[in-house]
Amino acid sequence: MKKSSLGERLRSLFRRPEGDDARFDDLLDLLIEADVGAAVASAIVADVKRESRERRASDEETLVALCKDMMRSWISAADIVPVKDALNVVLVLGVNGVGKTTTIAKLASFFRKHYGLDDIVLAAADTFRAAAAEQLALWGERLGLKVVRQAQGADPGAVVYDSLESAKSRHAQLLFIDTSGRMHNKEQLVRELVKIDRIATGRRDSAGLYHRMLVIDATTGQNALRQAEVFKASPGIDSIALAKFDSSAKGGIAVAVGKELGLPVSFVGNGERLEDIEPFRTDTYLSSLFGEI
Amino acid sequence: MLGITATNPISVDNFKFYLYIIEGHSGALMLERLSGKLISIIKQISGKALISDKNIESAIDEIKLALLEADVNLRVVRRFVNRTAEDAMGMKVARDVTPSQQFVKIVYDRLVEILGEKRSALDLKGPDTQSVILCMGLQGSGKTTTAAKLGAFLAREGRKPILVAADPVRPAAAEQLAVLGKQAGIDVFRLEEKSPAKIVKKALEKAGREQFDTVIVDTTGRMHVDDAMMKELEELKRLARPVESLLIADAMTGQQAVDIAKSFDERIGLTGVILSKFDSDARGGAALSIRSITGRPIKYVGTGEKIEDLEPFYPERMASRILGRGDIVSLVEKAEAAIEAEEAEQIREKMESNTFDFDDYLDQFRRVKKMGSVRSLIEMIPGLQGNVDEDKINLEDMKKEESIILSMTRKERKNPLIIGPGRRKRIARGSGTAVFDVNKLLKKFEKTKIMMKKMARNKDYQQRLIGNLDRH
Ligand SMILES: Nc1nc2c(ncn2[C@@H]2O[C@H](COP(=O)(O)OP(=O)(O)OP(=O)(O)O)[C@@H](O)[C@H]2O)c(=O)[nH]1
Ligand SMILES: Nc1nc2c(ncn2[C@@H]2O[C@H](COP(=O)(O)OP(=O)(O)OP(=O)(O)O)[C@@H](O)[C@H]2O)c(=O)[nH]1
Ligand SMILES: [Mg+2]
Ligand SMILES: [Mg+2]
Repeated sequence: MKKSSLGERLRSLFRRPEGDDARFDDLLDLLIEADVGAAVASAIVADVKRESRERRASDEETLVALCKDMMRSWISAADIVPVKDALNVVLVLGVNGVGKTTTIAKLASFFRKHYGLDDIVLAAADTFRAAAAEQLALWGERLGLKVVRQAQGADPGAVVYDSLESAKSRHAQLLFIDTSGRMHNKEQLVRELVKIDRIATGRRDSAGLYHRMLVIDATTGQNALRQAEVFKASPGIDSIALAKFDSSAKGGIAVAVGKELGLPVSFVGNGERLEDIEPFRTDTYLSSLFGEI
Repeated sequence: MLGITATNPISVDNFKFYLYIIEGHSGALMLERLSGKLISIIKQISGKALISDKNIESAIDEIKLALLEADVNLRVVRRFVNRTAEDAMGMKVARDVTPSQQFVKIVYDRLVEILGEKRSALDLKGPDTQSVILCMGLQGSGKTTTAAKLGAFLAREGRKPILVAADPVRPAAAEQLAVLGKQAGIDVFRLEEKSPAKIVKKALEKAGREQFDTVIVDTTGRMHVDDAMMKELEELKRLARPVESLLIADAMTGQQAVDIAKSFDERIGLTGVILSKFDSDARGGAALSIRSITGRPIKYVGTGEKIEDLEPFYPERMASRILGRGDIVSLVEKAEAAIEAEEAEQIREKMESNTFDFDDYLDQFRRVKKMGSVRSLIEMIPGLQGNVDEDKINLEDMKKEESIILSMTRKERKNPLIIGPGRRKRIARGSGTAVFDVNKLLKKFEKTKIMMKKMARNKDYQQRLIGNLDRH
């Protein structure tokens, strides 16, 4: 609903008779307010301006189409397709409170439903935060899935190791590793993640997928770009999941992340229930960014 | 210049004076070291330029961009920068800085003012009555952690808090609070119950029975656009009648911070904000957005995941962080130094013409006090660490001197020579000190004046000081 109000605003703004310049300014504002970032937004508008003058068309539809075209060249969807008859591993990471644990529960439900995988294991490698393992365990209970956990304060690397052994021995098809929320600017915590990644890489089933997913909170501003940049460098990122897209925020930072870092987006979280997740679709995302949904 | 950051600006003159006050004549050594820099600053006398539309045009753009990069809401940025620019028009520019540099400094000051005005701690009732604190916010913003941090903090202050787990939605929310409460040694109230209202009701009863003076309620995370959940919170508030309704907001929040804070404030009525995850490297523009839209004070910031990671909010630090980029911060420093140099010049004139009086003394005093602890001051000045005997630094003395000066009449402050034995007795009585203390201060003041006058006049002496400084 909030997204349609943005669309209405955009349309009404574009209908204003002040001429092209006002229209471009409004476009800039809308992108900035969607958290695309001032620098990226200005670059987009400058290009759109040039293109639209070349084409001698500056009506609303043309401008939006030009914007979208440009964004489409940066943003891509990552399809995660589990390999049959192998153990696929998804490592989930991100800063504090973005939605990692909940996303894992939702993903487990999603892959069970859409890929018919029924042996899925969850690893509670967040041994730091109070009741983090309990939280994952409760989700596991609801889903009827095995959860590998150790006591609070245990070595997360040991949990990862255990979970891989356990998943392999029971011929599980998918393993999700939940990690502690950590700020990307805390080196020691990033190193811990690198260690977890190394253990997972070393012990995983090489026939299966190994996917490192960074969860980003859609309400986050420009800092999300830093998060993606740092975690892309270590331990490395294969896709981004955009959580809390049901907020009033537009998650425009995904545009900047795509442009600056070329990282694809795999999933979008739309709420707190198990079914509130869907694969990322560029066109749907862009429509919502421009308020067409 | 002296490794002084914009978050804690001091002028050399302040510092010299400060050392002098606290160390008397033994401070002369420090004085010599610092005076060279002082003199070089004093050389800059105010220029003639005025701030105009034209000469700050690019600074305006740059500041807007910096604020947007810091996630300050676009509308807030526009209003803030345009208004500040309007107010700055026609202002005199110090000689050593450009108009844009001076403008940046004005922006910085204004930011501090907006962020810091009405700064307040928690406003709780006395320990014989029950105070309820309601924590609210979006999903994952840090409510549960912050509730526990507040509990630990208030327990240290001598209160008897109880944490209430009123989030029946998020899996293991109550367990999380229970673990945190245990870590902090604070009681936690939890109940197998789907209705948060019932939980809160029962918790309040228990708190009343068992004489908990502070009830900290952790609630479910909710989107401000979720009408049903906001209604639930309205009801909770009616029921709990909190003295503090705190929005726990993530420091990394983007443009939506304005709408979020506005919704919570309009529907629930906030008394303040706690900015969590401030240990991230986010510039935290959300703070400015929230502050200027709701007018609610930012009471604390969360600086980590551990219970003790809760700190007071410092507007100066926040302002530098929002302006962020090193170049801007150093501009602020430069402008600050130049502007303070003008003030130093006024002091120098006064010293020279012998009109330096107790009002000036008091003024310097207050500036120094504003700067924070002596230890941190000393740490900021390279080469001074270890050179000042900290035992000699006596804040009690400073307070004493201040109250003595405050007990003087205006006339006496302007002209201490008229303070004879009768007046000394009266001043001592008025300030709750002894005549001995008054005598001591008067003597010290005369010495200070002589010293300053000598420095201000004697070019050779100044040269010697500069030479001295170069060798250090
Ligand atoms: N509205 C909404 N809430 C979500 C979404 N995803 C997660 N949440 C909520 O956000 C809060 C934090 O989610 P968690 O899954 O615990 O986040 P996390 O990243 O694991 O947190 P830490 O492990 O503490 O770093 C919970 O209240 C979730 O229910 C989403 O897509 N939409
Ligand atoms: N680095 C850092 N992490 C924090 C801070 N405050 C909270 N966190 C972390 O952020 C995550 C979410 O905190 P919670 O206290 O669970 O947040 P919440 O608002 O109660 O979440 P919900 O109940 O799910 O809505 C946890 O991983 C906390 O450890 C902080 O100041 N700094
Ligand atoms: Mg988690
Ligand atoms: Mg909570």
